Amino acid sequence: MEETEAEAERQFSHRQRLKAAVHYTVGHLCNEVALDKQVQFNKQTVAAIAEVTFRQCENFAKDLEMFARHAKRSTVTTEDVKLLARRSNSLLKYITEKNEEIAQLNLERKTKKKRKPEDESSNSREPAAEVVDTET
Amino acid sequence: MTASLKAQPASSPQPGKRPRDGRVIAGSYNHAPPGLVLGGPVGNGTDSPPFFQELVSRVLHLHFRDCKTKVSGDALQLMAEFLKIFVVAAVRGVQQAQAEDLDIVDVDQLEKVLPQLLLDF
Repeated sequence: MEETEAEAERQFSHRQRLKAAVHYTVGHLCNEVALDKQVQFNKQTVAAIAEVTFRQCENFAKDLEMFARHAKRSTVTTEDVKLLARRSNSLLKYITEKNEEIAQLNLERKTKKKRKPEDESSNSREPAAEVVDTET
Repeated sequence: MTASLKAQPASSPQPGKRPRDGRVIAGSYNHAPPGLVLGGPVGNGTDSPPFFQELVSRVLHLHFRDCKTKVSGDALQLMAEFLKIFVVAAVRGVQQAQAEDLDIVDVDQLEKVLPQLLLDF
């Protein structure tokens, strides 16, 4: 019984830490708007936005998992994320564009990585310079 | 939704305070992300700092029911953008709902924009 209690406590404190991290990030974004528009956000508002964000993340995570499982996958992909953005047309459009950008960026990075070992290999290195793609 | 909007954060992060496992999740974010210009299109730079993606990944995994569920790298980056937009939309909505020329934005403004925000997301 004590073990489950300790485990529950650990999970709770993990959750609290994540919440704090989210709060910090939200606070940062708020500060940027505050600087830009000459307004101030009081702490309660920042905390409220952080709370809403954290709670929505729970819904997002569950949805993403369901979408992936529905497609008989165990890995959440960009298609699942796009489905998450379906409720507002402008949002969907924005996310789709971002997806293209990200794909493009990653593709450029991949080709850069593959080119580099060929340029640099003046020593007797293994010619099959395997660039392990850790992203996919 | 029983959202208690006057929620006080349980542990508000203070400068210098780090999560106990030693991992700096939100510590070194001192500079503005490139191109986060608000009032126009959001985030011209798609390069979200890696710590933010790590945070997103952890928060998502916290709520997955199946431990085998993974998130692809591209999906993680996209989710980071998604969440950034969510926060920025909330912040912008609150700021626009501010009718009078108050300097301080309060929770009341958030209450006005929250329904539409949640419907859109």
